[in-house]
Amino acid sequence: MTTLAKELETYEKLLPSLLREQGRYAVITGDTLIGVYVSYEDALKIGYEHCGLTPFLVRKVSQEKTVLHFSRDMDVLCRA
Amino acid sequence: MPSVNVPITSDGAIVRIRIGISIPRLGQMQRLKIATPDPVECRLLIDTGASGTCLDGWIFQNLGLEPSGIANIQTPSTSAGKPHVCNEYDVSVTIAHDGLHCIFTAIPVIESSFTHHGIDGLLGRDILKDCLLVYNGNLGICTLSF
Repeated sequence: MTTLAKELETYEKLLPSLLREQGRYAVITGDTLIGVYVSYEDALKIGYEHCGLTPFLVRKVSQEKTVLHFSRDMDVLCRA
Repeated sequence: MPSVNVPITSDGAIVRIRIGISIPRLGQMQRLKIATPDPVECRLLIDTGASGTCLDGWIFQNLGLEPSGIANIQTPSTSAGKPHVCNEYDVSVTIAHDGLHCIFTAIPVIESSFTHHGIDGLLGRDILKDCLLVYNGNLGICTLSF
């Protein structure tokens, strides 16, 4: 499984209940929501405290899929 | 505000930036008494057309990082409505000049490949929004104040 695949699945399952925290950052490891935090840096801090150096997901809670735009073509490395 | 002046070359305005592990990760590694990687010096193209900062994969490998998120991105060659999904990593970004520096302690950045472009990545508007950028085409100098 791709890194964070389980966490992304968990995020999608939890999204309906997370929407009341829209704009904040969810921290997820495996199928567990660790918490939701105001800032990206706070979310990372808690994630590292809980998970050590094991990968965890930090995701900004949003109903809409946020898309970043680039006016330059890149050799994009897509997730497998 | 401290400033760094970079020449505008045929490749654009390229600025030297230090990329390190994010400060939260640094704190955790220090608590675990694990050796922390040195920051990496990179050449980034100042790109006002980039929503976010992107870095070549070798930087994350050097820093021993794994993804902590994903990002959906749209480029000129992306089919409408079908953005690419890319890995995202938490890093620190330091702009330094003449002994002064500005550090962004925890920034999510996207992984892309710039191997054949002569640069290590793009400095996007996520960082530029906190800077003052002056593009002086007549003099061929770009000034980034931070």
